[in-house]
Amino acid sequence: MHIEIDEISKQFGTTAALSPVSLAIPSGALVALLGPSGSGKTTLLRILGGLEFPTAGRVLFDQADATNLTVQERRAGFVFQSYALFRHMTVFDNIAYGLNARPRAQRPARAEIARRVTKLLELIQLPDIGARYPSQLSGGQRQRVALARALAIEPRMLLLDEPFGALDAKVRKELRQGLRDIHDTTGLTTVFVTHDQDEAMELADMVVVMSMGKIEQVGKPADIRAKPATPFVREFIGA
Amino acid sequence: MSIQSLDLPQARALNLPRAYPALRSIASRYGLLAGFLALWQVAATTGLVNPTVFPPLDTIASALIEALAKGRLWGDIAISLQRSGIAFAAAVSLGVPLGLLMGQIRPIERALDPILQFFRQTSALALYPVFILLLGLGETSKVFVIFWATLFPILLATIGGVKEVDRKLIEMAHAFGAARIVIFTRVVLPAAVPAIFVGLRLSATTALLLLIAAEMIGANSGLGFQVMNAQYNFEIPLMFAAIFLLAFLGLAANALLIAAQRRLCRWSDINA
Repeated sequence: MHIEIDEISKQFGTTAALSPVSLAIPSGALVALLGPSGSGKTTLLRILGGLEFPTAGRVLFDQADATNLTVQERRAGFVFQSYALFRHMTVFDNIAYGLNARPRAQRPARAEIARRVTKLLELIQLPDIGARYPSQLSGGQRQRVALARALAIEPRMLLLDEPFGALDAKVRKELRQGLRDIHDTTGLTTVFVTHDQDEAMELADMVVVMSMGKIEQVGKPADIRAKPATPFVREFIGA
Repeated sequence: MSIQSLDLPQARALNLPRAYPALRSIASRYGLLAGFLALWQVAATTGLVNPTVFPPLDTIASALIEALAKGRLWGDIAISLQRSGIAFAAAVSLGVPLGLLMGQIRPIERALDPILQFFRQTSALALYPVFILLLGLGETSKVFVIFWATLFPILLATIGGVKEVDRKLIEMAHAFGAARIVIFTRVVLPAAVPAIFVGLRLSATTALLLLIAAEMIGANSGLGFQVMNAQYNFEIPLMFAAIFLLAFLGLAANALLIAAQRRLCRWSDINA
């Protein structure tokens, strides 16, 4: 799905979290929103997903105005830094949650849900953990389960907020590749937030560098590294 | 011969580590308690302490068995269980729903919190005379004072449990299109259960504490009354027997609640 952000701004009280920003995300891209904390990257992600609404500006999905769509209508798959897995549900029920939460008329049959969950468990390469509880999983496994849960609703886009933030360096490397593979398999437009420039540069097709509520530079990782547009970008990526 | 002597230490090395940790964990857990009881028994029988004040444990045990055999304490156990049971059940059935409501809906919490804090800081025992004046010397005032004291731990633990549920979980369920009521029953409530149980266990202890105090002040039956009464009549072994029964009741109530929590929260117990 092609995403367009048109002059979006966001005020929290008197502080501006986002000055008007514009950005086009081509369909099927893997995009990193990169910046230090307070740069507005998470706010932008939440506006895309419909968890937050802009003070002004428009969001367009495939050229159609999506600014006022509710979070459910946008059909985004979310992964939060803390994963937000339901501790009292098994891995299977966690992944099936988005399907089971639908109104009865739109809910797939039980067998269909089971089939989809099984497929997703295979996709994240953890086929045997359906009966376990989140407390029995490692950090990396939890992250992959959160990813499978986000994919279960067959989302139109995947939004990840610091998806690797809570993991140690080695696991992080592994899971980066895992996300890349899943992105390439599903072809979903994917946006992830990170403050780690290596992660953004290594994983994304397109990097959006942000600072203080503004977009500093948009481009391919190699281009940003070769030609930082502003002193901030130069310093932040350590080029 | 040489094979045998070689075998022996090996066999011991294999068996001992298996038996050892189990024994050691029992010893480390109950060793002090056993030592205390042994010291009591020895001190009382050798006259190290005055046996009329601290009777030996076997005297207490036989006083307990004799009283139970003659049917003396059963009525007291029953009435004590009834008083604390009714009060505890009432506190749970008011405290948990009210706590869930207060934890979920900010204006209700804001409005109720000051008066609840005020009531909570007023000792239930200080209010007991007021309850007696209002409700009479019968069962109602005793049940009410226990109810009063047990309500607050349950209420506060429930409010805390609901408020501490990770906002991200609610947001995630919301993003999946779950209705408010579904989010509450399937996400908030299960996540708050462990905290609620902390309140229940605190309250169960408080219930027994208040039960005994209320029975000592204004009752003519119940285990608390029997402790007092036995002391007045100088039936010291019987007094201790009633005290041990009360301690046992407390342990049993706690064990029951832990078992219930284990059943309800299998998911949280796994690594804890």
